[in-house]
Amino acid sequence: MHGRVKVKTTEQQEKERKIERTAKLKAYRQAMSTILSRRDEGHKDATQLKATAQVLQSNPDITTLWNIRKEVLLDIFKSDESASEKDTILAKELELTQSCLMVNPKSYGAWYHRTWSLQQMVNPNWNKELALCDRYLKLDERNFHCWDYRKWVASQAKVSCQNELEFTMEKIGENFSNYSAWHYRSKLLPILYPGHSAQTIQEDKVHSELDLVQNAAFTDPEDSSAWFYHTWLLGKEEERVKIVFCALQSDTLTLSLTKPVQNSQIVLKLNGEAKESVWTGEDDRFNSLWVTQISPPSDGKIEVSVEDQEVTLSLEKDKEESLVKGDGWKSLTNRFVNPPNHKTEEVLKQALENCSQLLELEPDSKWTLYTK
Amino acid sequence: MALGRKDAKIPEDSPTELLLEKHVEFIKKYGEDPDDYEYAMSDFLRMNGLYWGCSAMHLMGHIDKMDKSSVIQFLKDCQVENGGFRPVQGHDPHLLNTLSAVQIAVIFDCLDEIDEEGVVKYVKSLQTEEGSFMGDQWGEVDNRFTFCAVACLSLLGRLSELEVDKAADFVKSCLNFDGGFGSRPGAESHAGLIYTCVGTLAVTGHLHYVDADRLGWWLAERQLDSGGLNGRPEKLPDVCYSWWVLASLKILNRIHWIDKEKLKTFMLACQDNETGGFADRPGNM
Repeated sequence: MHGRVKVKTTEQQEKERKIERTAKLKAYRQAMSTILSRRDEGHKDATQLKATAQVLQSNPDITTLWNIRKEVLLDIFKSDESASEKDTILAKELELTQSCLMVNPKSYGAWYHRTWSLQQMVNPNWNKELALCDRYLKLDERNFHCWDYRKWVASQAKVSCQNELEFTMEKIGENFSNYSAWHYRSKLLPILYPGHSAQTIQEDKVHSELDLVQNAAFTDPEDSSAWFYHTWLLGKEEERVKIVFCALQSDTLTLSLTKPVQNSQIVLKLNGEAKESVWTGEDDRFNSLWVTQISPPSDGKIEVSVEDQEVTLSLEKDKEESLVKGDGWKSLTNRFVNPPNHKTEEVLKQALENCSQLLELEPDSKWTLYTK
Repeated sequence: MALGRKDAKIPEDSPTELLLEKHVEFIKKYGEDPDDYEYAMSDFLRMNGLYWGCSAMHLMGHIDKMDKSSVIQFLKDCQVENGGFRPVQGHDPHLLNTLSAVQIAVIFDCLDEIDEEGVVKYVKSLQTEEGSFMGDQWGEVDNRFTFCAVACLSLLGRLSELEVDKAADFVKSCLNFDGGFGSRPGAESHAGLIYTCVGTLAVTGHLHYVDADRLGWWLAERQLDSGGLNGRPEKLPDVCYSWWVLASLKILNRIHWIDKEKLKTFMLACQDNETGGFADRPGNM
């Protein structure tokens, strides 16, 4: 119902339209009534397939009709159809979804039915599916249904990430403003060129990617796709949780973290012995500040750890209070937790220089200003 | 090089005032003629449409204009044995309709008229091992369904019946480079899906999974020169995103990142001053 222009029509046109619509509605209701009552009577046959196909061609979003088709097909497959028969029958489903997608290339029902049909097939032709995706993406390079479908096909067909990366390059080459392609790259790069922790990318790859996206961004500074991607490449990585401090005040132990965690993630040891403890916080489940009551040994140590972070409080006789700072303490006082190394610093400086140059040409370029 | 940026144009004679009475009439009239073409041909969306209509009427202070008893009867007629709701009689149940039905029941304060236990059982049965939700027995997984499930049970006060942490972790696995979320892991960020994911995380107490500044910025950038909002970069504005984007920003406490006056101008221009109701953009149906 989106994207329909309101057009003024004459009385005559209105009349004709009404007649046409009345006929269409009658046909639709008749078809649906027949299909649904035959279903209630238990018919799972070619007639149902023919009838549902007819309605779906102009109404591909009627989920129930796709469901009926699946029921009929599963019933047909119960009988001993040889492998080739099954695939021939399912090929017809692919044809149907294809013509439905011409009517509505964003029909969830049609895309899912296609997916389901391929899952049922004995020998699916994945290359054909990739070619189909190519065609649809040529029509609309931002059709996320098609991109998602392509990713699924690629995983089933065991297409290499490298291949997919090249595909995104093709798409970007055709049109720099292809957010969907940049997005796909953001998923492929950490797999192909993993960095030192989850979801990060090898440094030299980040640099070459920056080069690539800068070309795009500077070709059309008003297009946002490349700029968003650019910002991500320049930005910080997601940090793991760190301990800010751990403090003991008589029998109260306080733990402060850089991110909220669950109390089940906290490990407490008193003089090397693990201690079960009840930690409390403002929220029932996730807190960045947790407190517990303990009976501290008169001397020795208290070790607290969360994931791979650990701090040790050394206790001294007659000292009631004690505080130890963790790695997270620095993040409160430093703007950049991990200062860039020399190579990265050079790249960032160049990026800044490029932005400044572009601003001389296009001083109102919003994206350039943000990025700078 | 200034290329034409995708955006809508606001015609000179566009409405500038809220035509509330016309909208009340539009919704009230909708469905009065069962043979109206648009109405009849969208019967497979009836339950969703009924929710949006009732919700709007309620916000406008005219819920009394809806026929409560026939709405309740409709809900009862659409709930099936497995607890799920159909969109309309004869069609199959689905999580999308189930949420709409529960939302309608809450608006009319008639939850006791539906089989709540049935709903809980149905929704629970659709959660997968990894924490995501299928829309129905046929297995399609999508974060629209994650939201439907948690919102539904949350409204019934039975959220604990689900594997809530798993659901939140599934949403987390859909986090993208831009701070947004898509329908499944690997899917591109989209304002509608962002609403469902941020909503899920809010309902389940996992909002800290979101980088609010980064996502807030991406959402704020949905606003175009016309004042309208689009659903993702380089797309045309559509008035429906006023809901998906603003609701998400509200949850993230960053609603002030949108230019309110410009958005208002755009939205008012989307009204149809003949029939009442809103089009997706000025000049459309």
